[in-house]
Amino acid sequence: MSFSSIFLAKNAHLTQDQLPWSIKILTQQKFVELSKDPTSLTLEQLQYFAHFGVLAPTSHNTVPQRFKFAVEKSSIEIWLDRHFVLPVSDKVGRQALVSLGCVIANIELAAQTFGWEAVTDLVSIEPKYLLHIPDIDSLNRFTHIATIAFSPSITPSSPQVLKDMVDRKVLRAEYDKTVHLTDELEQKLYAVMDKYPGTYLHIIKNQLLMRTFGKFQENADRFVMENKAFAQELGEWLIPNDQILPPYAMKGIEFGFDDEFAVHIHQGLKGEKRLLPDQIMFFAKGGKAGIESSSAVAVLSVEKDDVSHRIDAGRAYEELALLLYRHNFFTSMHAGITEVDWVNATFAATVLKTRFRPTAVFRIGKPKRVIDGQRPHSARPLLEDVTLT
Amino acid sequence: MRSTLQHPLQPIIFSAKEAHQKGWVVYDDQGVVSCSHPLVKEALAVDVATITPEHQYPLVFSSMSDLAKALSSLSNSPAMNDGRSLREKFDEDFQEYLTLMQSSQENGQWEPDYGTYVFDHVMGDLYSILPEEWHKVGLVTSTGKLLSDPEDKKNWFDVRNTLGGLSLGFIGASVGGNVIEGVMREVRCSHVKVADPDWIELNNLNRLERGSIRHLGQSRASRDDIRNPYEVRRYNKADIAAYYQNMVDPYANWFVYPEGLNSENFEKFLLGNGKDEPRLDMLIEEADDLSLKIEIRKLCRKHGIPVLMMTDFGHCAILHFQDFKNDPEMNLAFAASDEEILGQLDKALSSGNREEIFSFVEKLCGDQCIRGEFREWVHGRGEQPTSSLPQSGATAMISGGIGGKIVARYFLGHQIPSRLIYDFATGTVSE
Repeated sequence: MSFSSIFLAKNAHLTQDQLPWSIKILTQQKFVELSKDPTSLTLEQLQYFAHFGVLAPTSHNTVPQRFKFAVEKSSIEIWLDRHFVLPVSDKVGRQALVSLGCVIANIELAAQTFGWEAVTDLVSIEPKYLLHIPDIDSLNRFTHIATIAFSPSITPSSPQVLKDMVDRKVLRAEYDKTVHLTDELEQKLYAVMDKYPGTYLHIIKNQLLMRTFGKFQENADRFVMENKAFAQELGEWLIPNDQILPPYAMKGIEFGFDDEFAVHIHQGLKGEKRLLPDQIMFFAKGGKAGIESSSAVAVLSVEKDDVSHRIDAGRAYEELALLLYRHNFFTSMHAGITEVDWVNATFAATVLKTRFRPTAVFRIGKPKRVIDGQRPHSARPLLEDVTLT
Repeated sequence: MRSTLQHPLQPIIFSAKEAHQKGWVVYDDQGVVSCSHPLVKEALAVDVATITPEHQYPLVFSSMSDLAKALSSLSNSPAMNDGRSLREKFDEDFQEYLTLMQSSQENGQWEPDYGTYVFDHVMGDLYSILPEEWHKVGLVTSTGKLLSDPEDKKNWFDVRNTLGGLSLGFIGASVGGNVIEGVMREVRCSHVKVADPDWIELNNLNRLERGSIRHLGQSRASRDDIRNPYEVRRYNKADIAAYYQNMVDPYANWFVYPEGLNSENFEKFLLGNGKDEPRLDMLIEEADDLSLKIEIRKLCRKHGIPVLMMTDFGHCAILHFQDFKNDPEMNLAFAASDEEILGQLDKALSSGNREEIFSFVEKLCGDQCIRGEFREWVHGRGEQPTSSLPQSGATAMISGGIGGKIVARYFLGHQIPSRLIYDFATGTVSE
């Protein structure tokens, strides 16, 4: 029987790309019953952990993660599908690694819920094996990034985090700027960073700095969207609302676009239809407005821009996002400011006053309109479709 | 005189007499000033500021002589409360100053105990200017009695007191900077507030009042790492607008909101703080933010504060005036009910659809506003070098002038229409 048929709740109203979000949250007992040996994990149990990795947020919702299961070692290998590394907006594969960091975080947290300690070892990789590969038949398409090994040595943690992973979504909407982060929550966020030496969290709540940040993001967005290749790529990954397959990419509704506009912007960015300069301006201003509406902006900077720190940035982001969600805060990533090098450098020097590279930037808030919080989840593939044999 | 800076670029003013008595300004034999005024020390982070003669601008005598030429000596010189005419008072004060100047020369003083020092800490320049009364007269005397109430019953002093006592607020200092200039030239009020979170960019110079290369970035010394080319410190539009206006009238009180307006400071911006920051008599709204436009109108209507908006669309300068003080039932928009404009705002913000945004504009501003070449742009026809809304610098400048006229005339009791469209392509004015 497939994973889908065992662990995904049957719901005739769900389209295939929404199905992964219907994962059943197992009780401790139900999870244990999946194995006869309490000291080793079965394939189903490993798959169950990995499924939460499928739900993790990824850059442009590219879902570049692939899994291999080593039952005899009670481990999951995390692989990068290079075909899904964005060639224009993620030239060096930085955001793909941040995405895999989110995947790893979810798997580690899922395992801890059931009393399994997760230890992640990174594979030593040459940078060229992180770059986009256009040929889907290439032998070098997949790169082994990490192996997560599990051992039954800890007390199970609260299953709430699993529900958070299922319910949470990246929300690109206007937030309610009257809502503030409490000092207590802020301290909890900083405490998460103890696990990630060399990665630093900056939380910006000052209105003036947030406006400045919003301006930088707007400049980044406008710069890249005026770039034909970038716009083309974004158009390929920003799809009409009714497009179910393939089960990745971002739908216009996730940006608050109605069906008509979602089609228009998709076609416009791809160059199939004329997109006017002020439409690009409004798109970019929307990002700025979103930032200015936020309770805070958070930046994860790394002391070294290498594989392990990029992954740690992703892991940290996902932990922070889940913690925030538990306190009813949503997040939304802003990649333009991290991937346009000159904007990144200006932002780091002028706003953050740091020499470390901002690697993940996200805003935090509660939706101003209740209806925005009810937008559908972004698409996800089935686990079997992202499993390597 | 102020004991704190109201905004970071504000010139520091202090009485010359007090400065000499307290030793805040001391001249050496070569005329070099050692300045130890507390605010100067704070602004420059030094114990004593050294100001060479190259950076000193003694302007009292020159300004006095300017007024001697400018102030009318004919029988219709405005009458003061004590029976003297303005000219007569000036003559007495001028004579008094000349006497002081002479005696200070004889005593070896570089400057007499008269007037006000103004230290522009941005440029490091020290000015001495006329006392407030005469400086302000100098700024308005050339307007003459062109401004008056509809029946022309107010005398010149009444007019100037009416306008000078106003408290005006500006949201947006880009095109808004032009309106600030027009209003300040015409009204010359003493309390002004300006809010704008944006910084100055090269492409703003086509319409930014007094904008120049000076404002495209701060000096290398402002960087934390002076060699880092990515560390770019910018100038805020509101700060610059206030600075240049303060360099015209250093006595005016400018309250600057470089963070822009948000739910936490709306009320203070409109209603003041009950202490030194007053309530607004009028708001001049020049913001880009659609939801801010509606939000601020709601509050102004609630508190009875009139709202003026000057919009420049292509070759049209469009005036919208909502007198919420005298008509608290007015709609938030010119061409839609409150329900309609709020619904349209929601559509404009939530769908991302361009047509919804222009539909909002038409409801807010009314039809006929989008015309000519600007209409072509709206419909996506023709070449387009800019990724933003195209704006004519000359139209912005004209909008500023119109704004100044309207504000002055409203407070002098003239009727102001709720909308006027000045079309410079066709040479027509319509409602």
